[in-house]
Formats: sequence, C-alpha cells, structure tokens
Amino acid sequence: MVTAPLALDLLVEASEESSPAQPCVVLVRNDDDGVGVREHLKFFGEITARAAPAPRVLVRPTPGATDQTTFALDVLVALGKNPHVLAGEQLGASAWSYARAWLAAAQVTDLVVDRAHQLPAQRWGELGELAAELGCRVWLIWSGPGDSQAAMDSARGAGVRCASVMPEWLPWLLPVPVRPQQPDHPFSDTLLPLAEFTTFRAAARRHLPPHQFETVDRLYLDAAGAADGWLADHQHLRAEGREGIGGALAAWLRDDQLGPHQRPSQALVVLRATQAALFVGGVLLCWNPAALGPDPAARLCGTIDTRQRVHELYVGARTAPAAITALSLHLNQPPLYFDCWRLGDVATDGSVLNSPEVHRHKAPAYLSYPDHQAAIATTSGVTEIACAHPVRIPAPAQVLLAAHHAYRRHQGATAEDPFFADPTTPAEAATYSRLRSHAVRTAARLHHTPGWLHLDDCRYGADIGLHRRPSGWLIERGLSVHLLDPALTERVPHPVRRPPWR
Amino acid sequence: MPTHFLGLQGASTLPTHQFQLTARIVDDLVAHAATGCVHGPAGAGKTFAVDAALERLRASGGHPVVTCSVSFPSKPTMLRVATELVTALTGTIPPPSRNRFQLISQLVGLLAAPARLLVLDEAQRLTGECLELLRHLHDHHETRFALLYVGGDGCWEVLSREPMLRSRIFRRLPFQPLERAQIPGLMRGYHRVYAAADEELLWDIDDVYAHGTLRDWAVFTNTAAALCAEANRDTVDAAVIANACTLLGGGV
Repeated sequence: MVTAPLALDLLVEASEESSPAQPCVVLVRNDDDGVGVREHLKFFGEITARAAPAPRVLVRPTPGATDQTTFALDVLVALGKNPHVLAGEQLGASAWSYARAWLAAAQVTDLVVDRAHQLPAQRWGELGELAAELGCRVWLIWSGPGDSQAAMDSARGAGVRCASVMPEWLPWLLPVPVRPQQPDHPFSDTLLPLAEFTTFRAAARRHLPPHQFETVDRLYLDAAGAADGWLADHQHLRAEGREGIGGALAAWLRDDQLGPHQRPSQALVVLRATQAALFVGGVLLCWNPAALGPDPAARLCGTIDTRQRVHELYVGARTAPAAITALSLHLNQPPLYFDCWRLGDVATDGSVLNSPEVHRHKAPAYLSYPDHQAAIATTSGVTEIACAHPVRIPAPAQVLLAAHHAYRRHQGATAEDPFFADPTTPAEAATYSRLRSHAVRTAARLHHTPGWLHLDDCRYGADIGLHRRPSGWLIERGLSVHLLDPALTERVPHPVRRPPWR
Repeated sequence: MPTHFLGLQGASTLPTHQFQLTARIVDDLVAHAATGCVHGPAGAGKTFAVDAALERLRASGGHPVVTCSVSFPSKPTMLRVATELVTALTGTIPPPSRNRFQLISQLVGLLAAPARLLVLDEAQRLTGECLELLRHLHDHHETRFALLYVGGDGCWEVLSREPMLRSRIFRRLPFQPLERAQIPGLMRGYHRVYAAADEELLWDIDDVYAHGTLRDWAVFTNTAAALCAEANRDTVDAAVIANACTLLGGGV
C-alpha cells in the first residue's frame, strides 16, 4: 500500500516544519470511509479555513459537479473566498486560472482534496500538474469506489511522484495545523499628551507614570534614531527641493516609519519623534490634526495593514480589482501612475513594487495647472508620484499583489509587460479610467468611498465645477513637508550629534 | 400533537415503545448534531412519531434548535434537493438561475447557524447523488446540524447501500407493525369506540384489516366511529365491524 521512500520523505517533511514540501500526489486509501479520516479532515478544515489564506487548504468538491469551473470555485472557496462574491463575478472558464493564481499567492504547500474519487480523470491530471507547478503536495482522499490506479497514472503523467498511503497514516503525514495565535501587543494604548513635537517628550515625561513613559520613550528614541538615519542617507535630495525630499519622505513614512504601526498611540509617538528628528535636520514635518476627526492619531496608521481590512478585498477571485484597490488604498490616491509598473518591477511575493527604470506613466494634464500646484503647495507641499519610489506592501496585503502577479504570469506576460493590463488586450497597460473604475467599484463594495476615488460627476458634489482636490498619503494624514532655511538649521541644537539620541 | 390520519377525531396517541424511542432519538441527534434514521413499513407511525417529537421539541424550548421538515418527489435530482432545502430554510424559492455551486454554498451558510434539525421524510426516494449532497453538507466543517432520515420500505436499504452514509448513522430506529398481543391493550385507549370492545373483536379487526399498521387502524376507526354514530352505539360490535369491512373493501 505504501510506497516506502516517498512515504518516508513525507514523514520527515511532516516532522520538520521548516523543510520544503516536495511536489507529489498522495492518495489516501480511505475505502471504508472511516470515521478517523472524517474527523481529522473536519478539524483540519476548521483550522485552515480560519487561517485563510494559509499554506494548507482543504477542498471539498461540490457533489456531482465534474466541470473544471465548479472545481475551481471549490478551490477558491477553500482558499477563503466568499462564494456569493464568486457567483457575482461570473468567472466562467477563467476560474481555474484565478484558482491557480491564488494558490500560488498563498504559497500552498498541502492541497487536500476530499472525496477525490468523485472527480473525473481530467481533474486528477490537472491536480498533478498543479503539484508540479506550485511545488506542493496534493492529497487525494479516496473514500469510495473508482479506479484509484487511473488517478495515480494521471497524476504521474504530470511528472510528479505519487504514493498511496493508508488512512491511519494521515494524522502523522498531514497533522492538523496549530491554531493561529492572537498577536501579542506589548505596547498597550496609552493616553498621550496633546503636545506639539517640540515639547511632546517633556510633556510625556511629566504626565505619564514612569513605567509607561519608559515604554513610550524607548519607542520615541528608536523612531527618532531611524528618522535621523534616513535623513542622513537622503541629504542629497535637499538639492531637489521640497518636492524631491518630500516624495521620498512620504514613501518612507508610509512603508517603514509610520504606516506599519497599527495602534494610534504608537503612531503618534513615532510621528512626534520623527518630526523632532527631521526638524533638527532642517525638514519641518507639520501635522494638522484639526481636520482629521475625533481621533486624529488613528488616521496616522496605514490603510490596509490589518488582516481585517485586507480580508474585505480578499473575498473576490478577480485579482486585478483587489490588487488595484489595495494599492490605491495603501497609497491613498487614485490609480494615477499604475500603468507605469511592469511585471518585472513587482516582487513575486507581492512584497514590493520597485520604481521602474523607465517611466511610462501618463500624468494627467491637470497636475501641471497652476491652481492645482497652488492647492498642493497649501496642503502637503508634495506631489506624490506612486511609481517614483519603491512601494513596500504591508504583509497582510501582499497576497493580493502576489495573486495578480501569478495571474499575469499565467496569462503569459513577460517581465516587460504591464503589471496592470487591459483585459481585452493584455499586452497593453490598462487605462487610468479602467483602473479607477476597478478601484471605485471595489471600494464601493467595501462601503469605503474616499474623496480621491470620486468620479468627475461626483454625486457627493465636492468636485463639480471645482478644481480637483490633491490627494496622497501625506494629505490623508494632515501632514505637510517644508524645508527650513539652512542658516536656521545650523543654529538649532542637534541632539543627534550625541549619538544616537540617548 | 400532530393530526391523526384523515383528521380522525377523538383518537389518543398510542405510547408505543417506538413512539417513545423516537423522542429519545431526536433529542440525541440534536444534542450531537448527528445523523439518524427512522424507517419501517408504510403506516407504521414513523412520520406521526417524528412530528410529535418535533412538536415537543419546539414547545419545550429546552433545545434552542430550529426544526425543518422536507420531503421530495420520487428520484429527485441533486439540484432539486438543494432548491427544496434552500426553500425550506429561507421560506423563499431561490431564482432558477442559481446553479448547484451557488445553492450548495448558500446551504452551507444557512446550516452554519443557528442549530437545526433537518428531517427528510420519504428518504427512500433519494438517489445516491442526493445522499452524497446531504453527506457533503453534514460533513462540512462550517455546518452544524442534526439530520434525520425518515423513510418507508427500502429506506434502510438505500441508506445502507452507501457505506459513507451507513457509517455516519448515529441512531437508527426500525419501526415494526404492532404485535398482535399488544392490540387490545393499546386500542382500548386509542378511541372511545374500542374502550369496551371485546378482545376477540379487536383481534378480528387486526387480522382482517389493520395487520398492526397504525394508519390502517386510523382508517378503520374513522369508518367505525362514523357507523357507531349513525347507529347510536358507543362501542363497536360485530355488525359495525362487518359494515366497516364492507366499506373498506371487505378486508381484501
């Protein structure tokens, strides 16, 4: 029953979490439909569904369905997609491509197919190909009659190793994953003083209990040190003026310094420290919380940095709307420069979008209008051009970009092809209006309608007959960048010169 | 209590062994969200016993469980079963444009919460595909509901033919016709027309017409009670039985 060498490998892989999965197809002979396998899969399914997208996936094929599209929908549901959203997307024959893309993005190591004996022979072959393509293990739970040997032969045809194991082995070979732990937040929410950055640290020392101040100050000093280091590395950008250093500063604040913090109090401490460090370096980062609502510090955090927010984008199967909207929300601006990125600029795992060597984006004319320039000057002072600097994607949202990357690869796109392609002519970049319509529709589904996504004839009325409002990550947070006179900077006492801020 | 067959008036519920066991089985299934089967020949009182147990369940409020009974025509398709289940659970007929994947996904969502007891009457009519669908729903890690198959002749044969289903049956209750020895004791409490009837007469009714089948007893009682009323008699006698047998096909 057991093909000894492969079964041994599986046991070794199961015992070592870190060992990479070897692509193979494993047939579990559960002929009598034993209770053990059923219960094991029930727990397995519960845990993996809760952790989706997870590297272990349990697919329960729709009974009686033999077509590829329905099986693809079953795979997508197993990956945590909402079946009602999938039904509305009308994926048709492209469902399998999307399923493969999302499987690749989730970096699936174990794909378990329950009641595989009910699938037609064609699906077995496709699952074998999938194992080879993704480098994962495909488990076929064979709980009834049928020609299991034919299934193995079909899978072998894809060039992957195959084995047949007894059901008693399943709990050892495919253990139930550990329940995901709740994140531990050592930094509890603290009521911080509403002082400007010039007196924030002193006010915190005065108002907070010593143990709380110690925690806050540790974060403050680390953030100030990081800001000082960044400024030292980017002094050359001062020559490019406010726009030059402001664009890089916005990208850094968004991706590294401020955006990743999920707690408003943390973000506020980091902001105040950054402001102080930049000020002594000759850059004034102003924060105007007056227009940010009742909890302005909450607006400082990233837009899509939590699993909850990303999950709302994750529920559909179409990769382009999810990726465009995620990127748009992360940058807090419409998808203006998204036509610039090529497939080669985007990391396979969706973690980063590098700045293209050659910029091909089409900037709209209104950006150069004097009134728009004046509006920018009075808000953040920086025209944030998304493709001008690398964009690092928050970890929970990376799967969205990775899935679109995988989907484009399946479409046959090369590194030089656009990342966001026109659906009718995939070799060409998608137009701005199409990109924006994707973002508008998806954001509306999330009941999220930021002003910068409104259409020209906006029903909210804000932009009718008026100039377009500037948008960007800094503006969304009430931040603006100003360069100080170098003569003034020289006279400001520089605590950084006592390394490193301690 | 549920209505007796043909709306028979003045009849009591017979506390048979099977009737009492049905209540226990329903409770067990609800408690464990498990699958059970009540089967037996037609007219043995399965549906009545299950309906009574469900009524008691709803009335007692002891189980926070929603009950839902569905029955199907002969050899339904899987799509028909899914449609009927969605209709029973939501109260509205799903649009015909819904395909199997959409209906099953909806069912998974509906059966995830609250706790439910799904009763499928005439389960012998279900095909292997339909049973596979029900197994899929019951085994799904998101759903939690109890499932009770109620079926007549051939029901257990259909269910036990599928090993995947047979191994999932947590409680099974085969209904049998009433034993001859039980007839006088039970029937005297069943209806006032039998209260003072002679033992031999009651056995005669069972031998000639009812054969221990409760539904046949209900039919006979209905006729006999009407004849007694016409003849101003309180209790059945040989003449009433003879006339009733004539009206009911002469016992053939």
